[in-house]
Amino acid sequence: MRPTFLGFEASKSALFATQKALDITGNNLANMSSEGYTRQRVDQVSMGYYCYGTKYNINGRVALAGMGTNVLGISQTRNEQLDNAFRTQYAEVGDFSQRNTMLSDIESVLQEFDIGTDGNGYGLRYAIEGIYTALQDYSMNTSSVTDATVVVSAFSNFSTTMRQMSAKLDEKANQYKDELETDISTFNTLVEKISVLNKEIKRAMVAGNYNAEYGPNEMLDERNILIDQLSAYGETTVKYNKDGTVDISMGGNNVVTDEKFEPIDFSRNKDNTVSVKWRSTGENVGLGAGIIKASTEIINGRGNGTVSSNETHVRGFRYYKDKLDELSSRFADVCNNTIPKEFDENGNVKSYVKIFGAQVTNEDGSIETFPDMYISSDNIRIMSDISEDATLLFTNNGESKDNKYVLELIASLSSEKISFNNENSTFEDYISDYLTNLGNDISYYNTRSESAQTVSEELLNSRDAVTGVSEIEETSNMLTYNRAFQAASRMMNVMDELLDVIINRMGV
Amino acid sequence: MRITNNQLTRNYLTNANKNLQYYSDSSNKLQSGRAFTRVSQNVSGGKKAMRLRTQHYQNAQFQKNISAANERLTIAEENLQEISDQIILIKEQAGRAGGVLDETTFGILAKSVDEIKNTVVQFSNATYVDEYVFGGTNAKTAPFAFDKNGELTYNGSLVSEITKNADGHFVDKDGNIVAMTEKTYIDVGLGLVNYEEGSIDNNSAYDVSFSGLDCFGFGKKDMTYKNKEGDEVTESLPNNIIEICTEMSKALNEGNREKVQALSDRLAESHDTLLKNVAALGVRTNYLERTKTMLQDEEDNLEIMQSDLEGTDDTSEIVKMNEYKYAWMLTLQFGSNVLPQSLMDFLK
Repeated sequence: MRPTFLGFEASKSALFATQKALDITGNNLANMSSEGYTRQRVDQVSMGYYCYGTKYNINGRVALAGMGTNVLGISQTRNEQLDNAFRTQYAEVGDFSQRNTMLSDIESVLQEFDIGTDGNGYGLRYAIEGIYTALQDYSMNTSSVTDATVVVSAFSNFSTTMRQMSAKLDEKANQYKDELETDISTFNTLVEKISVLNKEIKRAMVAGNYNAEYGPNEMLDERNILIDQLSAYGETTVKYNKDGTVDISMGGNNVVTDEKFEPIDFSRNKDNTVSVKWRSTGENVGLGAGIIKASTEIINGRGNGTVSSNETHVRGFRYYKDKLDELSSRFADVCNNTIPKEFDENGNVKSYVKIFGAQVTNEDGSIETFPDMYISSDNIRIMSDISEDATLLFTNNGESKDNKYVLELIASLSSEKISFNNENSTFEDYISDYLTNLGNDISYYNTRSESAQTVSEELLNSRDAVTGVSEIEETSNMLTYNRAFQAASRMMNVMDELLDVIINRMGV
Repeated sequence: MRITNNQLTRNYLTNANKNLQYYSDSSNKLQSGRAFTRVSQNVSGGKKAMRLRTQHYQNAQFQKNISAANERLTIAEENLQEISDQIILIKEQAGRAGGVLDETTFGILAKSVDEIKNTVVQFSNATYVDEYVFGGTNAKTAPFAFDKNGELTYNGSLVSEITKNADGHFVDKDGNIVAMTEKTYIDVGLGLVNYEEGSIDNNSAYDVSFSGLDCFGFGKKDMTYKNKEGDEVTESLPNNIIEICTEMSKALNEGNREKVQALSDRLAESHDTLLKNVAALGVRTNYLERTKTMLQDEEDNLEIMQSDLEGTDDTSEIVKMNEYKYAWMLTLQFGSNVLPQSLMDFLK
């Protein structure tokens, strides 16, 4: 025996279900271009009511069948593997493109190759060329004041170019330190937001009676967007918990656990390096790949010449600053010990003409140059006495046209192999060596960055195939649910007619 | 596999950007004429290009040096020719002395020898730009001058007492090296290098110095001649042309024909030395000319290599740019179809 109004119940449930399904379809279409939106599905199940001992209660078994439909929940489909794959790749994208940008900026500071309009690079090699031609012309006539003045201004040009290059390099390093600080505060904001969302999702799961399969979809989407953004900063591993929260660890450290998060502290050290540490433990942050690692390594990068434990072995800002310093020091050393100033009674050289010195700015703003101080790329400057009076370059007050010291200087500056810390080469080859290293590094990171970008886009496409909204699918769903609604309402009419016959026309 | 609208638009944008990037890079290369503007764009090419640039400017400098050296040596040659002509005049005067009988004629001859001597002194103190051609490394004062006794000095040392020592340096009677007689060198691309101790290797630079002492003679040498009485006399006669003139003028005033003749013979020897120096000068200017031609050829080669390396190959680059432009136009045309019609458009 069946309940009288069972048919109505079945159709009524169908009407509710299809209306809900159409709502969700409309929601999907509305959110087709929302960032991070995962398509939602209505999970409909057939209602069943089962009692004990159906073998002995045949009526119950048959009578109560056909209860209609029920909506279990609104689900969203995500593929965890694709998510993880994308996030790992995104860390690489962030890492390589950050390195590429930073090193390209260093290259534009150290540019030797082409920044002039006539195709000459106006860098250090050009300054050395100027010194070479001035010295050659001077060697033809070592008692000429005009030629000596040209030589002095060529040397001055070199020291000015060197100081400017060094200052620009420092400026760029500071710019990137500022940028790293901003990046770290963004990171901290992201982890904080994720932990807040964790808390809210946990509450919503309890309040809304959600379970592991059906969660608060919009909040889940929001959290996924944040985790995607976070993955650019380091290698991210996500663990999904039963209560709806996630545990995020980066580079082996727990960054977000339930409602707690672990921010990073940024500090600038006295030795021009930066330190990036976890706030709670004070240990250095090791994030695998990612923007923070790339930035820190290059800011602190000193190649093989690391002095402090904060520095890294990457060829970064400190490394190229060291190169400029070494170049200045050796260059000044050669120039300051070649042209003799005074001879003793036996005709041996007593002292040399000092061309370069280290500049020191006094409190009143005046500048003094000291040739015996350590000369680096920040402070190299032509000696003020020579700069005002070029005749101080002369040997023997210009009475003799003996040019062998000038030729010695020319040979030292152009063809002689100078011994640097790690190599023996001419000055120009030293410059071209470090530029080639830089060019190689940039070329390598550029290629890897492009390929990482391509792979990450493919992964995004794959992810979209699972989570994205497809217009065709929604439209066909729309048609289906529309039909189902019409069918259900027609069914209602039929049920009504049946009852009408029974109540109003049977036995009258 | 499901295709979503986001995938379609994302792919479209990525490809469109890539096409535009290629097109822009290609047209940049054509407009600037440079195949690469940074070492990172072509690392091996960049390294080679830097080296080529160095060679190029050094080559230009060597050519400049050679031109200056050539001018200097040419001026020296011209002056030596002039002096040679003057010497011939002197010989004529000396020849006339052989047939002269009275004192006044001797006096006249002596005076003309004096005048010729002054001309010779002028030529030997010749300047080029603002330096003394025959002065060695002397920059400020004329090399040949007369001291208070009327004797000829070179850079302050008495010419008649100068000798050459074993090393080839000019030394005065005390053994001190005569001032400012070192050689001067220029760099003509022989690979200028320094010794370990610091001074340059002389074989790696070119000597452009010109010694007045070598050309005009220095020191004294014995000469034997028969005097008026027919006796053999040995006198130490100077080698230097100017000093010979001084002695000749004295001898003419004394009427000593035989000495005049002996001096004339000595003069002939010195003249030979001078002419040998002129010939040597010719050899040096020839060498410099040849080196300059070689450097010019090298410069042409360097320029070709540089343009091959750094310059854009216009033909192939234009073809590439047109390909990219075509790809870009296709992308734009396709753009309107990137989101094709879907089921939505067909519902009634």
